[in-house]
Amino acid sequence: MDAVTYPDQQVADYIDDSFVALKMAYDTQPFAEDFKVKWTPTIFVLDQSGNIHQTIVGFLPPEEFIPALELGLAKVDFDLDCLDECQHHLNRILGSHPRSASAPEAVYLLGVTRFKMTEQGGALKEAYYQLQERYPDSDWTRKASPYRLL
Amino acid sequence: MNKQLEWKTDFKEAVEQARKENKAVLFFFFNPA
Repeated sequence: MDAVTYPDQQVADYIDDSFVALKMAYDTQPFAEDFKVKWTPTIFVLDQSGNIHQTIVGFLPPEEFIPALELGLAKVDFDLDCLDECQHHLNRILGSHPRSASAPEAVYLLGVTRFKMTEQGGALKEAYYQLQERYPDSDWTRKASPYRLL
Repeated sequence: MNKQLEWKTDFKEAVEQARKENKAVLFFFFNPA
């Protein structure tokens, strides 16, 4: 990550805009134990109270790291019931990184977010059909498959 | 001029800055070897 991803200017700008960056060696106590770090690189997205909302283990190149972090921001907002902001992050993933590994999960979470906002099952059904069309082999498509029955 | 990432190394300081700036925290554990 230090050799390829973090020096990338788009990554650096993206992190600087939305995150405070915190770095520790994998064996720094008590944090390594508190956060149950077992491998490196491990990256957590934390909210402003220090709670974990996204965990990334292993190297990601710049084109995957940015959408993975954006998904982390979406999960922070989802977990804190800030659903408008959550939708904003998910739409950014789908608009700017539609072929990234984070995109299928973004479609799924967008469907769930819209369902929570509207209480309309059609939001979940639409998410399934979008997943089926765009990412037919994704685990997220399989996870959404019951929604086709709504 | 390329902007470099500024890494914090103090957890409490990072969380406090995140609150002040309304940001999330990216917490990176690395292997220095």
